[in-house]
Amino acid sequence: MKKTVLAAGIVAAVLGLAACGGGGETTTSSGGSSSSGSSGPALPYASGIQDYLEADVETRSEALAALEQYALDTKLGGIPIYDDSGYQLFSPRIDLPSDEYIPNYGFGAGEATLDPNGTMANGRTAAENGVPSSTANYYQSYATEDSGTFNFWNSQGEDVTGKHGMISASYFSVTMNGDRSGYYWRNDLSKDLRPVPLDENGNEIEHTEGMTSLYWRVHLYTAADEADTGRTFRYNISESSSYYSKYHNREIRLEDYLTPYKALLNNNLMRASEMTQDSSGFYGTYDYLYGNANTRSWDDVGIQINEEEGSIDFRFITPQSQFYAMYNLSSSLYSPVPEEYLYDIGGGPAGGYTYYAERPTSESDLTKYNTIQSYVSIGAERFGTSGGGINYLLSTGPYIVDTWDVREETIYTKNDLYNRTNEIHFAGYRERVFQNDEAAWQEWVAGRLDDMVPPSTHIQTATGSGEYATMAHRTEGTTTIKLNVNACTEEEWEYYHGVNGTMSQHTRENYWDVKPIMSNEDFLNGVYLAINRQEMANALGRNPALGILSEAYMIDPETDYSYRDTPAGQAVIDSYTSGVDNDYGYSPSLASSLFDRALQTLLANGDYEAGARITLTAVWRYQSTIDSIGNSLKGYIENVFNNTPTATSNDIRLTIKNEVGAVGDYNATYTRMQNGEFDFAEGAISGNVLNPLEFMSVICTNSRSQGFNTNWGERTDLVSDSHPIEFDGMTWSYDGLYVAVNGAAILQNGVNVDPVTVGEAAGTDGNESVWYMNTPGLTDEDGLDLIHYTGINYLYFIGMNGNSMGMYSYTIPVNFEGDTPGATISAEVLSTTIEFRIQTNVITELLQGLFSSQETLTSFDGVRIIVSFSCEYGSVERALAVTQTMSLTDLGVSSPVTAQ
Amino acid sequence: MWKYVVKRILLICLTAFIVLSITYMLLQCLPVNEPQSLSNKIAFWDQQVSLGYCWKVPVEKYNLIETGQIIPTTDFYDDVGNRYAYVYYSIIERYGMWIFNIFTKWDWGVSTQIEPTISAMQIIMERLPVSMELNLISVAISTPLGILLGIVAALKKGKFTDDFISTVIMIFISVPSFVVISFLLIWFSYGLGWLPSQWPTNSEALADPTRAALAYIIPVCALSFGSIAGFARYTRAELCEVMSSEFLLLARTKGLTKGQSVVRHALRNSMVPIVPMIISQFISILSGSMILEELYNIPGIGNMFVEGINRRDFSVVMVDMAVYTLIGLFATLIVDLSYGVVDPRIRMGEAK
Repeated sequence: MKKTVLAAGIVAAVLGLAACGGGGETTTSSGGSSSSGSSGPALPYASGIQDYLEADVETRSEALAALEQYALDTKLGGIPIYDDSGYQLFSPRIDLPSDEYIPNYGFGAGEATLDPNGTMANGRTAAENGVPSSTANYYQSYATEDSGTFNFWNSQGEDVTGKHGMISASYFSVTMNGDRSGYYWRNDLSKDLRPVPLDENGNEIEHTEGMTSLYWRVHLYTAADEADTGRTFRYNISESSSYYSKYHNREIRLEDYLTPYKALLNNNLMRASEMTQDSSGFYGTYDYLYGNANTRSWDDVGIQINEEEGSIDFRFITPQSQFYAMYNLSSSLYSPVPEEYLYDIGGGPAGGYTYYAERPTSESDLTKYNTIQSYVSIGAERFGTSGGGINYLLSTGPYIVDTWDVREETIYTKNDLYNRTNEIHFAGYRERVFQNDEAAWQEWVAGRLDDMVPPSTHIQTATGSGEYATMAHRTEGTTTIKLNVNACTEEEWEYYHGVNGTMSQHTRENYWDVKPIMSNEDFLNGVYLAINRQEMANALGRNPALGILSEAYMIDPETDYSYRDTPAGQAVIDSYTSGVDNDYGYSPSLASSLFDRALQTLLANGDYEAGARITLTAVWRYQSTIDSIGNSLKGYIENVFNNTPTATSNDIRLTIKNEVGAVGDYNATYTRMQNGEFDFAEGAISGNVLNPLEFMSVICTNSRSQGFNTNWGERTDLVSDSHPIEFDGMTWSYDGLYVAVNGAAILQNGVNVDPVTVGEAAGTDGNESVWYMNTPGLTDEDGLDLIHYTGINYLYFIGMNGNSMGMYSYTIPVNFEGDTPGATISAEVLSTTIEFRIQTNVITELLQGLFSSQETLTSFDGVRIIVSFSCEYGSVERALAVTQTMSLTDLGVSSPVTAQ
Repeated sequence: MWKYVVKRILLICLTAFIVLSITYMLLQCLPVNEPQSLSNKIAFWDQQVSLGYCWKVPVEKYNLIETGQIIPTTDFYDDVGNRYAYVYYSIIERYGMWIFNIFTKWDWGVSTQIEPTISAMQIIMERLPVSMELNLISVAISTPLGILLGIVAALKKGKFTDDFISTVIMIFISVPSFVVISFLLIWFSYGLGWLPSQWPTNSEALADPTRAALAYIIPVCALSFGSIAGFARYTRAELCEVMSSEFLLLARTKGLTKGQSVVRHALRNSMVPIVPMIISQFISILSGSMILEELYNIPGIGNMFVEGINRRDFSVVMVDMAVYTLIGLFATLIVDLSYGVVDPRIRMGEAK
């Protein structure tokens, strides 16, 4: 007993999870109201402008480790169980370039070779097994999902990425390296190996290691480059297509590269929203996408053709490193398409197409232009859809579609006009669609498929002495399956989900019954150690997972360097296995000790009494998940907990009640998780494996409102009392560090703060009213401002009483340098505030001039002022908006004021 | 008679209208499956706008949200502070637009998930022949077989043959078709490998017509077993009843052999309720084929119905629903009319 307690103490100390106060009491979350502990942090708080965007790999890995450690320690990342690794079977006739799985790349099946006389899984040839002889020498693959479209622009289906990739080329792509041990990025349609950085005037600048830029240029290949390169840059389409004569062998032109961007934004196709997002999006796309179709201009969008350079010049929303600029532009979403082709498939009359580089000016041209655009718009929606059979499938990629029967099969044949056609090893590729895994499995058994991911029910055939073990290849996982945790205290739950919850709102009678045991760290650490994740993983052919991030997450994607292989990444895992006699963090004895101590604390605090029956609810999407995971977890946790000395001596019993969130609607389970209505729940976490630092936003409290991560506990925007993050000699909040490693952060006492917040209205003297916006007021050593505010605008929204509601907006530029002659509003940056002086008579005159004579000022509530502006600090340029509502009284405007 | 038919057709249209209207509104009441990621979420809502289900609040009306005069269905910001507020039209408004498009443009909407942007009507019409073909084959096989078994059972009433057939009938009636197909798949496809485990693709059917023909066996059997049992049970019951009737006894006493009396009198009389049953069985088979099509990967409308509901592709579901409803309603009309064909004494729509 003594030995066990000692060991538990060691583990707890190693994990950094046990109580740090005297008397062995466990410290739990502070309730989220304070940003500092009573004794203060060991290291000074991070403050000022902190920017690690261009930090070296080691520093970034340490930052990521600090974030992951926090997520694990607080359980805001859930409790990892296993990843989604498994097995993939390949028929004997396939010779893979690599038998070892390469994270984020696979086995290089696309670069494999196929022996047409080779055998399938059952020892016979494909033709003998009933594969049609015309396609027997094609690679035989399958899918269990079919989105019914190749139109990547207008679909969210995950399978569309792969389908569209088969028939499209991209600016940059990945291929296997020489010794077939990894992969590397290369230029495909881009002439440059990497995008070229530009200054804001469009001049090329030299790239230096670690630099970031908003502006990037990609020089692009066209058919004019064929002689120089020996490669072909032309379109192709199936011979049986009615567009064959026009588009087979049609050259790729520079203007074709602009078509996909315009198709997406002009028609608001489904993936257009990806172009407006800050991480990978382009400047001006939001305004263009949702702006007035008659007045918006492509000139305002950060995607411009540069005829002189033979390039497209991009302006991103946020600064990009060279790698991420390349990565974001490598999507086949931006593969070139002739606008004329969209016009044709959109139903435009033959011969009616005229390319307009700019908007036409004459009225007749405009009419014609609009007509053309409507055909092009229809074509953009039709592109890649099944409505025209194979007519809508123009290819620049390695294959062309020869046959397409939606939800049955797709047959691709080699594209002889692909720019790297000599690298295509298969004569064709046949993909069949099955309704379920078992049906696909039977086809594999019958020798009609070249690859197969065995369903869990047949996993034993791929292992040990299983029938297909010699054809099996082990894959690594990218998704971590975990147990989600609602570790809120009552105060925290109230903050997130109470009557005035910040994430969801509940009436008091619908409050979730928050269990004190769920916010006890010893209990949650006990749960971590009680799970035999190795046993669970083996049963399902998976790999046990100890951390949030799998091997697939690259801290340096350029060099294929996995975060998990860095010393910092490994240290996080070590913190959960040191002192535990198991490589996968399983120790029932240590779990028992932690449970025991948790119970003692909870009993001492009066949270529970002897004889208590504690029921925790675990929510799952499907009954099948309960059968495969939930029941095992319930068994592990209950068995250990209910046999602890304190539980048995006090007759305390723990029961975990597994239930399906809602039968027939798995989204209801997500809703329950988002609303904090659970104790444990089913979870999985995966994201952008090439940018794990950005992916860690899922842990941020404000991201949880979007359902990315549904674990609840302490707030990440504050410095944790129990788990303060220490990095680079400073103490941080989670959000503060997250923002700093993804750009510049403005920090005060370790907490990330906004560049500006609404301040108080100072009142009016009848002539003018004054109000403030607060700023962090940060200055450098020389007293110069670290945050620069520019481009300020005002928007007035004037409200009315009654049923009629008017909206009038005005844009009034203001300069910060002091008085502006003739300006009606003045603004001045003070040390920590921006002061606004609004002149009463100007507002009155403004209102008088605005409204019709039958209305008077008495019918207005007041004025809502939205101040929008840009600010720059570190590498960041941000657009901000602050709203201030002021009544007429606040403004000192006397009423009624009759309209003039 | 024609007046009766026209009246029934009008009633069928009215019934179909009501059924479809209720279905549409119920489907629209289902909770929204909002995607998790931000870009997908925005795309989802923009798609809802393009489908005419909701509208995006423009910037100049944001103040109405602040004052509560517009209550958005969803309202969120992206990472750079752009606002996305969307308001659903009421269900009645959505229903009105749906009805308007159908009646004015015969536009039943486009698929959103199964084959995005493709007309739902086109998707269903392309798949209707496969379902119809399978169902007609099943009816063509099950009707004579079922009647034959029923006749044999009735003629051998109380003997081992009757007991055996009755037992088999009860089993087939009790076991749903998707269980039968699973059993057939496991035994004849996965186990013995005699029959295809999936409906062949077009290229496979062209390359190997024999395999394509064999592929009919499992689904037709699965669809037919229940139907055969139904026919056999009714035929047996009707025939047994007729066989014990006085007019048949009279026929025998007049010198007819048992065979002559059965064929000329008993069978004809017992067919009165059975012939209309053929159409009822067709409807039954049609509805039973939904899960079966899914299991055997048959590209029919039943498959689309299940898929449409699972993926919330409501336009496809509604067209599929319309097809099923109209087939069902017209079938009842044909059943009623067929009574008159089988038994000339019955005249539909005649004054009493």
